[in-house]
Amino acid sequence: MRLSNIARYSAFVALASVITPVWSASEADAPQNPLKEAYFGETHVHTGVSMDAFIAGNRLTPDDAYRFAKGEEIMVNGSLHRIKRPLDFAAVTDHSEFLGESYSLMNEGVAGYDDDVAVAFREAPDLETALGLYNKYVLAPLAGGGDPHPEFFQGIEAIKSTWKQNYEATQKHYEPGKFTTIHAYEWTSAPGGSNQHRNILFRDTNLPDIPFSSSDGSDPEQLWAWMQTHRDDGKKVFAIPHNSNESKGLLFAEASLTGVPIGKEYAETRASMEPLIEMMQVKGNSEVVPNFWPNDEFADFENAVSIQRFSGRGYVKENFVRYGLGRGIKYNAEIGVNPFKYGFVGGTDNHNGTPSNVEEDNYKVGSHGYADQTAAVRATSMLEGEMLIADANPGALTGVWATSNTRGAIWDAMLAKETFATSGPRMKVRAFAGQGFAGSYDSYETLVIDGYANGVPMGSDYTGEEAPQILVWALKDPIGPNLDRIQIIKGWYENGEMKDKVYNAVASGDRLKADGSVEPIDAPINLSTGEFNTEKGDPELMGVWTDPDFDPAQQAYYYVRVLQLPTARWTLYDELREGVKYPDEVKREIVERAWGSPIWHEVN
Amino acid sequence: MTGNAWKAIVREPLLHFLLVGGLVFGAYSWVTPEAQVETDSEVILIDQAELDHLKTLWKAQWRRDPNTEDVAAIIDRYLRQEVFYREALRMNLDHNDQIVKKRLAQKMEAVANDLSTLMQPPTDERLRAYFHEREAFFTLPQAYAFKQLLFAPDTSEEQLKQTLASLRANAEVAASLNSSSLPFEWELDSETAIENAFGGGFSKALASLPVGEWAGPVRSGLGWHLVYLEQNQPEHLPSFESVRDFVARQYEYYAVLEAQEQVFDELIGKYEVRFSAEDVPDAILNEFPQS
Repeated sequence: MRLSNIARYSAFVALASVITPVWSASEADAPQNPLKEAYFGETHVHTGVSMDAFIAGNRLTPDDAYRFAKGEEIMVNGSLHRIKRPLDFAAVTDHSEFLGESYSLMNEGVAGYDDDVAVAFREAPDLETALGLYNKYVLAPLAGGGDPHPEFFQGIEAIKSTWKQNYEATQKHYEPGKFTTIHAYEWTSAPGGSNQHRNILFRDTNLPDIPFSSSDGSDPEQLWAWMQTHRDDGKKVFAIPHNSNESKGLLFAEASLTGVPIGKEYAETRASMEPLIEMMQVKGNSEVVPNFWPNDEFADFENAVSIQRFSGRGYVKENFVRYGLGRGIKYNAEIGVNPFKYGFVGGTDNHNGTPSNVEEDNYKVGSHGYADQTAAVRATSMLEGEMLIADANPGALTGVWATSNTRGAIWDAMLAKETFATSGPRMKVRAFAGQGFAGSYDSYETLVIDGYANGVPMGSDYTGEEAPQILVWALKDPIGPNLDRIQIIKGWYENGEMKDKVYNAVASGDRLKADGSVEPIDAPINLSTGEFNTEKGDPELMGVWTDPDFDPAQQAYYYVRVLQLPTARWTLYDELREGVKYPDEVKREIVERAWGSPIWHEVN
Repeated sequence: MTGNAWKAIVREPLLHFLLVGGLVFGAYSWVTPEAQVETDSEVILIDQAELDHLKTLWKAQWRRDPNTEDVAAIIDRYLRQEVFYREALRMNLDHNDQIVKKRLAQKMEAVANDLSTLMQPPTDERLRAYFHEREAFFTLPQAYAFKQLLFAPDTSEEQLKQTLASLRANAEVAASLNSSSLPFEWELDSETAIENAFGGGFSKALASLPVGEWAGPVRSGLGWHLVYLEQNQPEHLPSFESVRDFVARQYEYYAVLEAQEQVFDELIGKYEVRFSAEDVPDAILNEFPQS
C-alpha cells in the first residue's frame, strides 16, 4: 500500500464501523434442513489486527473481512476486489500474539499510537522495510523468549480491547440462516521453526477474556490445558492445526514437544481438543507428496515444494496428513487411543483480510500484502522465509454438512467431523459407510435418507464385522468443469507397517475397469484462454464401493477424494491477463479436488 | 505468520533515523492544544479542560475511570512529553524532519478530508443527486424467480419433451419429480447469482422463457432443466426511497475516496510546481508544465 492510501484506509475503517448492524433473524428462525446442507466457508484468515499483516500493509478490520465474505466489494491491497460468490460462514482468526499492540496500531489517538515504532509499522512504505520491521519486532522476539512486546505495548487491557473489537465485529455480522460468523483466533507457535500453529474456534459467545498466545505457552499441551480450564468452565472450544507440511515432522511425532513418548493421556487430550486438521491453504496442500507416495498418481498437486529451501523445513513423510492418519491407527494399536483422528477443513491463511479469496481466475491482489500484491511481483518473488510465490496457491475452502446455517449447527458438525475440504471450487461430497446400500437411488433425497439409515456419515466410526460398503456422492461446482472420478483412500497398520492404498470408486463415463484402474480422461485446458473442457466428465457421480481387502480385526481409515477435470491455475491467468511470465517449471494447469473427512473402522 | 527465520538485518535508514528523531516525533500529538504552546513558553498550564481531555483518552483505552495513581502517571507523562516537545521546538528540531513532515502532511490530509466530509454531509438532497449521477451503479440487475427440475446431461430430447408435456398437463406432480440435490423453488435472485448456482449459461437462457408455464429444456453446467418461470423482473432503476440506506452506505464508502483526490487537486492548484532537477520523468513534466 502506498503511503497516500493510508488515510483512505483509516477512513474506510472508520466508516465501516458506523454501519448499522443487520440482524435479520434469530437462530430459531433459521431454515432447517434435516438431511443437512453443505455450507461453504473460511476457517483461517487474518486482518490488519494480526500484527504481521498490519506491517505488510493490511489495514482491514474483521468488520471489513466479514463484509468481503458476504460478497461486498472492498479496497484490498491497493485495489477494489470482491469474490464471485458470498460465503455461508467465516471465522476471522487473527494471531493472539501482539493483539494488544494491534490496539495501539489501529486506533488513532490511543496510547502508543504515536510511538515511533508503531509509526514505523504504520508507515512501512515497501516490502523491504516491512520485512525488516517484521523480523525485528515479530520473529526475533518470539524466537528469543522473554518479553516479546515492543515498547508501545500498553498491557493486558489493550489485549482485552482488541479481543472485544473482534468480538463486536463477529457479533455484528452474524445473520442466522444466511451468514454465520464464528468467534476464533490463531495460536501461533513455531518452536525451532516447526509449525505448530492452531486455529481456535468457539461455539458461541461464552468466551475467555483474552485468548491464549504462544507467549503464554508455546507447547500445544499448554494450549490444551488452557482450553480444558475453559471447557470446565462451560465454554465450547476446539483447535485446528495447520501447515503440517511445515512442521518438520513434529505434528505427527513419536513424542510430545517436551520429549515424552506419546501416551494414553496425551492421545486422549489431543483427540478431544483437535477434531479437525487443515488439509490445504495458501502455503500448500498437506495431504501427500509424490516422493513419499509414488503410487498416488494425483499426489503432485500444490505441494509448495520450495518450502524446503527455507528455515530447514525439508519435507519428511511425517509432515503429511495421510501419514498422520496412519500413525494414528498405529498409536491406536500401541496404546489403545488414536491421537490423530482428524476430519478435514480447508482454509486460506490469507493475510489480506479477504476470506476464501480462492478463485484461480480472480486472484488479482494476492494474499500476503506487499509480498504478492501484483502479477509482476508474484512472477518473480518469494514469500520471505517461506517459499516462492509461484509455488503458493489462493487457498482452500471448507464444506460443512449442517442442519442449518447457524453457529451451533456449523460448529457441532465440525466437531462431529461431517466436513470436507476443497482446493477452492464449490464441489460437494458425501460418504456413508454401512451395509445394504442400493446401487442407485430414485433421488438424492432417498440416497441421503438411506445413507443415514444404513450407515454412518463422514467423520464417524464404522464398527461392523463385514467389509464396509461406502456410499459416495459428489456434485461438481456449477461454474466449474465436470468431475473425473471419486477415489477412496484406505490406510491401515499391518505387521508393524503403516500402509495405504488409493482405490478408484467411481469414474465418469465407462472408464472404470474391472481391475480398478481408470482410463485417463483427455480434457486439457485451452492454454490461450484458460477455458476448461465442457464436454467430458460428469456433473454428478455416485456409487457404492465395497472394501475388497477387508480384515475385520484391522483398524483402518477411509477417506474420499473427488477429482474434477483440469482447470487453469492462477499463474496462467496472470500470464494471460498481465503479460508476466512464470518460469517454465511452474504449473499452468491443475486438477482441483475435494477431500471428505475419513470414516474409521474401529474394531470392537 | 509469514516467515520464520529471516536472516536479513534491518538496513532501512528510516528506522535508524527514527531512533534518533523519535523524541521529536513522539512529542507530536493529536491532542496537544495549540494555544498552550503559543502563550507563555515558561508556563505549562494543565487546566481542567486539559486534564479532563487526558482522562477521557485514558478511559477510552482502558475502559474504566483512572484512579489517583493513574492520574498522577497521566500528568507525569504529559509533563515529560511537553517539556521535551517545547525544547525541541526551540531548537527547531521539527524543521525539515522527514518524519515530522510526513506526520503533519498526514494530519493535514485527515483534516482536509474531515472538512470535505463535513461540507458534504449525506443529506437527502445530496444522496438523491449521488443516486442519479450513478444510476448505472444503482440499477437493479435482471432477476428471476422460478421452479426447476434437473435431468442428467444424457437424458434424451424425447424424454424431456414427454416430461414437459406431463408437467403442463398435471403441474401438481412437479415437486415430487425433483430427484436432484438442487432446490426445486428459487426465490427472486439476480441473473449473476443464478448463473453462479447453475453455470453453463443457464441464466441467459431464462430470458426467452414464458412466465407462468413449464418450459425448456434449458442447459446448465449440471445438466438439462425444465423450468417454470414465476417472475421475470427486468433490469430497472429502483425508486430512491426504496434504496436510500444502501445509497447512503455507498456514498460514505466511495465519496470519501473521491473527496480525497479532489482535496489534493484543489490544494495543489494553489502552488506552482517548479523543477530544477534534470532527471524528472516526462509524465510528471507534462502534468506540471514549466513556465
